Amino acid sequence: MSAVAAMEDVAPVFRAVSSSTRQLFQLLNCIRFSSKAQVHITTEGVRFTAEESRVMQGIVFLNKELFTSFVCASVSDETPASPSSQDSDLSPDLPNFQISLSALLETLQIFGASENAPRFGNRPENDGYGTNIRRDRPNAFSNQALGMAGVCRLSYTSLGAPFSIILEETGVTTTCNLNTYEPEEAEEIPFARDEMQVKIITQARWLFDAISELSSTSPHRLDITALPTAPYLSLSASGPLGSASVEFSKGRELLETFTVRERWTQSYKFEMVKAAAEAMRLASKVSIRGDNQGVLSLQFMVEVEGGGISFVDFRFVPFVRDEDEDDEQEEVSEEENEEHDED
Amino acid sequence: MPILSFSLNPESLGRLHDALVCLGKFSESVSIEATHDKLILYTLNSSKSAPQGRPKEKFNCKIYNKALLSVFKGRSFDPEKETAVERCDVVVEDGEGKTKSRFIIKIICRHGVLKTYRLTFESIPAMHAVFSKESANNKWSTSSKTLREFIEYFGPGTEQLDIYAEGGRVSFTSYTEKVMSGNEILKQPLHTTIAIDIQEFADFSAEEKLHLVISVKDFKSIITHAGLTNTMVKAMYSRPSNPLQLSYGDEGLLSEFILMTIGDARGSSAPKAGRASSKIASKQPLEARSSSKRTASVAEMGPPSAVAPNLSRKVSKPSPPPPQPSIQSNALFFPEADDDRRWDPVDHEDEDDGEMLLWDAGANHASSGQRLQRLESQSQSVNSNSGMNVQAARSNEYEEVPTQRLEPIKQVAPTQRLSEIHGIFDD
Repeated sequence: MSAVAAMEDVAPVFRAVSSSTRQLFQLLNCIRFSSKAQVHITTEGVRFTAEESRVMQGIVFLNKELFTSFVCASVSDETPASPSSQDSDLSPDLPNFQISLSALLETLQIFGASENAPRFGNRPENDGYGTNIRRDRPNAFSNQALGMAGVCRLSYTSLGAPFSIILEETGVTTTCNLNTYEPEEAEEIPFARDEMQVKIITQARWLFDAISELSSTSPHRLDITALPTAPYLSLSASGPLGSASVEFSKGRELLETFTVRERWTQSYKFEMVKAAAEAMRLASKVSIRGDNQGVLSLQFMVEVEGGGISFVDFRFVPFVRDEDEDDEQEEVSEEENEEHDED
Repeated sequence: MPILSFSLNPESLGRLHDALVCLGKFSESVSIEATHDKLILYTLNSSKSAPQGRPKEKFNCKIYNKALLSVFKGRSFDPEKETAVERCDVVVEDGEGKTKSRFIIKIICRHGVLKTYRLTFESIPAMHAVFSKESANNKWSTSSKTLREFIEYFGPGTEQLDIYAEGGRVSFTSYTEKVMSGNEILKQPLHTTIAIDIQEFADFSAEEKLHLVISVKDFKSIITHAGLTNTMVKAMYSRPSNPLQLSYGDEGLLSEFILMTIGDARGSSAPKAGRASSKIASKQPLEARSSSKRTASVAEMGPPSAVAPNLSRKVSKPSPPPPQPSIQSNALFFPEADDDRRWDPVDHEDEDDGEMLLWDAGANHASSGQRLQRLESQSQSVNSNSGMNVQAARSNEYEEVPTQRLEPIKQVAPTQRLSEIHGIFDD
C-alpha cells in the first residue's frame, strides 16, 4: 500500500471525475467482444480500442465532455494541458497501454451502473417499480433519479502504474486498481475515405433489427449488398437451416443518406458484425460505409443520458470472395431483382 | 411454380409461434400438411415410421422446428412498434432443376422492410396418430384456465399423471415411483394430488374408478399452451392403455393431442377381453403388405378411388417402443412376406378389445377410426408411456369429412393369409 501512497504524491498523468458510471459503462459495453482493450489517453478524451484477430476493430471514444473534470498532462510537462492544445502535438508522450476490458466493465458495474442495463434473465420481471412501457428508462426510485448517484474517479499516474478507479456512492468508497499492460502495436484497419464506394446513414435500430433477424439462421457469413436501385440495401446470410435476407426496398424512406455509385457487395464474418449489436441497440444513428477494398466501417452515434453525443466506431475486413462464388452471388441477386420487378 | 402459398395476418403470427413452441416440446421437427382449406402442423414424438408413398392430393413436408421458431419468434402484433409486421406470405417451391426446393417465408414489415427466409424442408408423407372417437365413450371438458392452475402444483420431478374419478370427485395425481439401486435411493417417491368436484367440470361423463396414466411433462406442455387462451379443454378416452385425446380450439385454431395412456396395473373395472389373435392377424398382414410394397401397391390395386391410396398405405404400429421388445413387435416393422405365422401373437395377458395407437398415413381420422374399430389390436406395448402423438391443427373447419366410401371395406376373415388379402384393397 505504501507504494500506492507514494505514487499519489506525484501528480498523475491523467485524472478524470465522472458523476455517473452509467454512460461510461454503456459505451464501453459496446466493445466488450474483446477481453483486452488498448487505452489511449489524449487531452480530448480517452480512446478505447478493442480488436479481434486483426479483422475487426471497435473504438469507443470517451469525450472529455462526459466527465465533470478531465485533466491530462503529458509525462514531460506536468502542467494541465490547455483545451486548445492539439493531441497530435502531445500524442507521443501521452499514455498508451492495455487494460482488461472485462475487469473494467466489472468495476464500473459495482454501483448499479447496470441497474437499467439490459441484462436479460438476471433482472426480476417485476420489482414493483419497473414498467413495461420502456424497459430502459430510468426507474423513478433509482439512485440516479434520487440524486444519490456515485462519483467515479479515474486516474493513471505513470507508465507501469495501475489504472485506478475510485467509486463513491452514498458513503461507500471502492478503490479498484487495474493492472495495465504493455501496449501492442495496434495498427488501425485502413479505411480509404477518398475511395469510398458506399455511404448510408440510417437509424441504428434498422440495422439492429436486421442483424437479429439474420442471426436466427445461425449463419457463418453475412453478405451486404448495396445497389443504386431497389432493393437498395440488402443483408443476407445463410446457415445450415436455410437462408434469410432483409431488404430495405423502400430505401428512400428508411435511409437518410444513400450514396452508392454502383453495385457493391461484400461478405463479413457474421459473428463479428453481431458483436456490434450492443452498439446498434444503443445508438440512434449509424453510418454504414464501405471502401473499394471492401472494408466496412460502421459509425454509431450514441446519445447518452445527460446530453452529449458519443461515437462508437467499428471496422471490419471482408472475406475474400472466390470468382465463382461471386458469380453465384450475381445470379441470386439477379433473381431477386426479377422478383422485385414482378412486385 | 409454387406448390403451396398462403398469407398470415400479423395477429396470427404470435399464435402460430405459440403453437410451434408447444409442438417443440414433443419433437424437434414439425410436419406441415396443407389441403385446400386448412393447414395442419403436427409432430410425432416417436417416429419409427414405416416409409410410405406420397399422397398426391396433399402437400406434406417436415421442417426443423427451431428454424420456424426463430422466424416467428417475437412477432407478437404491436402496431406501435416501428418494425411491426404488415403481412406474412409463405410460398413453398418444390421444383426440379433450377428452382430450389425451399419453404419461403416473406415477412413484410412497416417501411417496406422485406425479410425473406428460405428454409430447407424434407418432403415426407403424412403420418398421423389414429384416434377413434366412436369408441371413446369417456368424455370430460373443463376450462383451460382451471387446468392451468392445477399444473402449477405438479412437482417438477414427477413423471406420471394419474387421472382418476371416484365418488363425484376427480383427482389428478402427479407422482414418481421410488427408484432404488441397491441401498441407494435414486429417486424419492413424490405424490401430489389435486381433487376436484365433478361440478367444476363443464361436462363430465366418464366411467369412474379408471386410472388413466399419462406423462406429466406432456400434460403440462399441452395445458401451458391451452392456458394461453380461455378455452375449453376436452378430453376423450376409452380405457387405460388406449389413447387419450385432448382437444381445444380458439378462433380457427384447433389443437389436438393424442396421448398414449399407461395400462392400469392396479386393476381397472374394464373387463378383460378374450383373445382375439386371429383378428390381429388380419390387420397385420395388411400393414406388412403396404410397407413391403410401398411403391408398387398403388399399381397393384387397380384404379384407386380418391380414398383408396390412403387406405392402402395405412400402416399400423404400436407407437411406443415396447418395453420388452419381442419377436412379434419387431416383426411389425420387418415383415417377412411368406411367413404368416410370425404374425400370430403368442400370448397377450392384458389384451383389450380396444383400439391402439396407430399411424394413419391417410390422415383421415374419421375413416381410419371406423376401420380400426373392426380390427382387434394387440396391446402389448401399451405399458409404455412414451407413445404419444401430438397434433395441432390450424383450420377453420378442422373436423374431417366423414367418408362413406370406406363402407365397402370387407371384413377380413380372421385366419386369412397374407397371400389372400388382395380383396381388402378393392372397393
